Amino acid sequence: MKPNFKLFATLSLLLVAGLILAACQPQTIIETVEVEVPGEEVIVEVPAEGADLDSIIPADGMIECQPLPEMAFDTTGETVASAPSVPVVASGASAPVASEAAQGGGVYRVGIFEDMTTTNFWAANGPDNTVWNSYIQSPQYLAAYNLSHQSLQWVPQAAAAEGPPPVQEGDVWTITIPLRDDITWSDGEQFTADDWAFTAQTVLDFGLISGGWTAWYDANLLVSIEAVDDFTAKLTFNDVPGLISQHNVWGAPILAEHYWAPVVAEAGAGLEGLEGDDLVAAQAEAQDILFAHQPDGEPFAGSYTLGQREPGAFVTNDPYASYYGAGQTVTIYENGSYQSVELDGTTFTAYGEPEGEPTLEVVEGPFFDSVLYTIYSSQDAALLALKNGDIDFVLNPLGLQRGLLDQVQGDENISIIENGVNGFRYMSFNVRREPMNYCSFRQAVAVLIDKEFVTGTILQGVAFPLYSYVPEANGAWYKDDVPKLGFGLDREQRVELAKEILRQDGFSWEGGVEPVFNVDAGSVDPGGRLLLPDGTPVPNLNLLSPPPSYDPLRSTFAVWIESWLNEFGIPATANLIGFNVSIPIIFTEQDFDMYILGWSLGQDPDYLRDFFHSEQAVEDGNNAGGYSNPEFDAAADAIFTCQTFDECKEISDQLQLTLSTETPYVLLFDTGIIEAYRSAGIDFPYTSSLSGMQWTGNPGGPAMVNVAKVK
Amino acid sequence: MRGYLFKRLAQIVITFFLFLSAIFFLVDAQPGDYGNVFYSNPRLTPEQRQQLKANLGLDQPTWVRYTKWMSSFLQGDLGISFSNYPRPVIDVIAERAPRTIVLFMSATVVSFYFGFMAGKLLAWNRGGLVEYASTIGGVSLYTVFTPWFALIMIWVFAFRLGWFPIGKFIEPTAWIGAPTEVNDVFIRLIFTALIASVLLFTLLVSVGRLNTNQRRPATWIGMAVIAAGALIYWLNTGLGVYALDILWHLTLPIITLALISFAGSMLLTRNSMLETLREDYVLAARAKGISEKAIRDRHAARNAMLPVVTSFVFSLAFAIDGGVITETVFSWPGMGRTLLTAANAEDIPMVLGALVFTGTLALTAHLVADILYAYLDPRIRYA
Repeated sequence: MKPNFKLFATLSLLLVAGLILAACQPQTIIETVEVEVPGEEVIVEVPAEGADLDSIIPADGMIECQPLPEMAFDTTGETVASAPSVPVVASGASAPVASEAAQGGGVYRVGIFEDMTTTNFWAANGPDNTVWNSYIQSPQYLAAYNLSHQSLQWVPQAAAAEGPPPVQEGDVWTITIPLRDDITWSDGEQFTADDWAFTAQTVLDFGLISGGWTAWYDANLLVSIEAVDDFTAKLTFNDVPGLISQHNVWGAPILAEHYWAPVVAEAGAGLEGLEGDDLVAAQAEAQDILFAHQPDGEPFAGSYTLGQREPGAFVTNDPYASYYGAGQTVTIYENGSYQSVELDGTTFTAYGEPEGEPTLEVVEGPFFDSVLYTIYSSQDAALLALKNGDIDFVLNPLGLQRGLLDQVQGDENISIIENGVNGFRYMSFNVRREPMNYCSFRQAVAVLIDKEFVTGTILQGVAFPLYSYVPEANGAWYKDDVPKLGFGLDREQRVELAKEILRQDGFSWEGGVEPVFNVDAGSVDPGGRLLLPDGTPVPNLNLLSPPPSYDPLRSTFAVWIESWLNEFGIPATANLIGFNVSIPIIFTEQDFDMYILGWSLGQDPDYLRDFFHSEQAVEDGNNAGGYSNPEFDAAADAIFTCQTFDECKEISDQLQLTLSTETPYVLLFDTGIIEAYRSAGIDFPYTSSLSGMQWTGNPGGPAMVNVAKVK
Repeated sequence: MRGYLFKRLAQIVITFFLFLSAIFFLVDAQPGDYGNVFYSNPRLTPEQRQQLKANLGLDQPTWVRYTKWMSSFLQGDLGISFSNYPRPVIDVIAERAPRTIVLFMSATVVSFYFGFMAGKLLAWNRGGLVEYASTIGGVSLYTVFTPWFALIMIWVFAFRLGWFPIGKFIEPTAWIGAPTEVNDVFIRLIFTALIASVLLFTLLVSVGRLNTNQRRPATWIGMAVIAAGALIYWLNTGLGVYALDILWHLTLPIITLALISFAGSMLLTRNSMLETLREDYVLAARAKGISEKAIRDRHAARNAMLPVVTSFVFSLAFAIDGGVITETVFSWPGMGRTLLTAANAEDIPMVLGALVFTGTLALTAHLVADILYAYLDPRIRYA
């Protein structure tokens, strides 16, 4: 048969045209919803396509909370002894563990699941900001300060003393920090304040905002870092830097000026004298040149230096022989005091004079001749390698899946650790819309969600319920006595409390038929549809959630929430949609009623401002639900200016209390992190640590891991 | 023939650009974009997120990005991989493709060879227990759940028996301090195989002109010379031990892949052979008193090869795609995993770059198959 070329070409062109049309189809931004509330007109305006979302923050559209109704049972969970227990890491709260004296030799073999994407540290903490890069590169660099082992207190690393408070000098504030004079780069050059100043200036000049740079060297606050002399750095800020802002710059990595200066000079050659859009465009080009540089012979000052990299196969880190911290003994005491004693006897003490018994004693390495990171593509293969003795430890930010735990349990050569994590998975309301703008509605929904039932009975304990915006595992900032809506209540009590919360705000049910718990059936007999205070029925609500393939835990919660809301007269539908599908709907279009997602958190609670400040309630902002509370905003701003831990803790507590009451999120759950290591080959000086032993913030990273004692 | 080739080439070029356009718009039509990663950093302001997206060109309309990408492509630039920023896509492909080519081409050759040999024998000895057992066994392996089977192979032969390594494509401890990079050895392996194949093909064609008695010893001597040449080359480079390490890691995945896929070519050959065996020229050969082996191998099997060769050529073309499952289970970081990771992350330039190679090879394979048809079957002539 003769091929019909014309027909083929025509059909192909039609196909391409169809695809183009499909791809170019305009997206609906947000529907318009008008809401009328008796007594005062509240318009929750939602703009037409392309409108500025700044204009829709309904500060006066959110209906305030009422005091929780008096019931025959406790309604806030405050009188309950405590939330379900999870592994906790808090200052001086752990059992004492003393590490053995340094042994040494051999290779510390670690399994990882993805390759490094770059060895360029600027890029690795910028556009290539992956946890895998971080695992390998973090031990190679020093910062002025770092978090201490286990107790997670800020202690000097390259700095020679504790950080002094900021001093006002005219319009600016400064902090002068002395640095150690005994640190050298791995090429023998002296580590100086100029290195820190150079790193900061590069970030500011190049406008590095992706990855970690924007938090470490925040251009909105930090003006410059100058080297007063070789071992004194002066940090200048345009506003008073709070304790948390100081923490950010304290933990900022420092790169070697003598290696990077020529690269930076070449990349940034065209930046001088530019402003505005021209500068932004030039910065983007300069960043590309900087990120594209393949380091060769870059010096390091951390406990390990980059050894060999074979793309797709392995990476090695070699111990840095002149690492300043090698051999020092770190001791944490019962009263939270931190003490380090170096090999020459130099002692540093912080957080009070030591009192009581030591809770932890760690001798720092490096103890191994090399750290070998081998890449496995699947957990199954990595676990078999662990059992087989091919590797000593598996690095995985999600830890070991419970389904795979059976494979290593019972192996006498392998030990399993479980720790709490610093994160939460939550359900957010879109408070721009009715009825989610009613605090009473959000509280009632929070009461109806039985987290203990889902995590305990359905998920068989693989997750634990959460009630606080700072997870209990982050002991230093955790606030236990916040309202825990629904905690400890049975189904009947939940229904009664939720009804009472709504009733006192004017809600009712269609036909006057309320949902009632049927004791005989052990379930809720549905009533009529929930009516708003003005008598209009609650609209159909959607709940976006990741599908089981992405996160079976969150999708299970979504299905149960849908069921509980519907039997209560709230027509809700759980839409289990892909992560990539949901992100633009939630954060850009903000076209949702409720959604379920999760956050991994930093140690300091400044993320409360990032999540809930009204300035983030804009297109592509974190506050996609539109929560707006001027009092909260003011307190959240203050968390960046508070100067002492106690002052900051008080603000953090206030923020947590406000959020737990006003419930812009219903915090759902999180999971602990399970890790397995080959105890026949390695020893950890301690195994209780926030987010597990793999946490890359551990000072020295693998430097604390020792060779196993002969058993 | 020349006219036909020009016409086919023109069709291939048009098809290729339609393919590129289709995959661009299909990949781009996925909800969200690579900018989703910026939402995981709560410290970024909305303006910074917009700026980061703009730096990647994600703020541009679809058709602008399409024309820019197509324009770059025509200049030989496949763009920058978002997830390996700012590494060029071609650089990532150059790093990963050799590993995939070595694994999947080897597996394809092995599975087709054994499939062809088995299919030929099954058709010849039809109705026996061996045929039923081979067919059922082959089809069972062909339809087995690949990740499960691959894991069982690792568990039995690597973990329990310890004959092979558990995953990975090299033994890291053997490569620490190696004088060269892994990819260098992979590329040398590919060239060695390529040169050996060309020499082997030349040898087989040449010995075909010899008389029957000289053929077998000439073939064996020729093959020994080629093998010795390869051996001398690898000993000379000093990289032989590294090549052996790769081959050792290659064995289990190849066996697994060959076991899974050989049934396809076995059944194809068997069916093709059964049809051929009914042909008059086979009957005529028997009537002439030619030996059964010669009828089977030189008359029937050679004519039954046509569909098998077509299938083989297409399989080789798609070998560059690799296999997501195989590469994941065996921790073999090749193109399959790269394509999957890029698609999940919506790294459009990387996805397009990988598919450009697949499309190119697939279309080339079609052309090669057409030409091979004419070569293998003198009855076929293109006008």
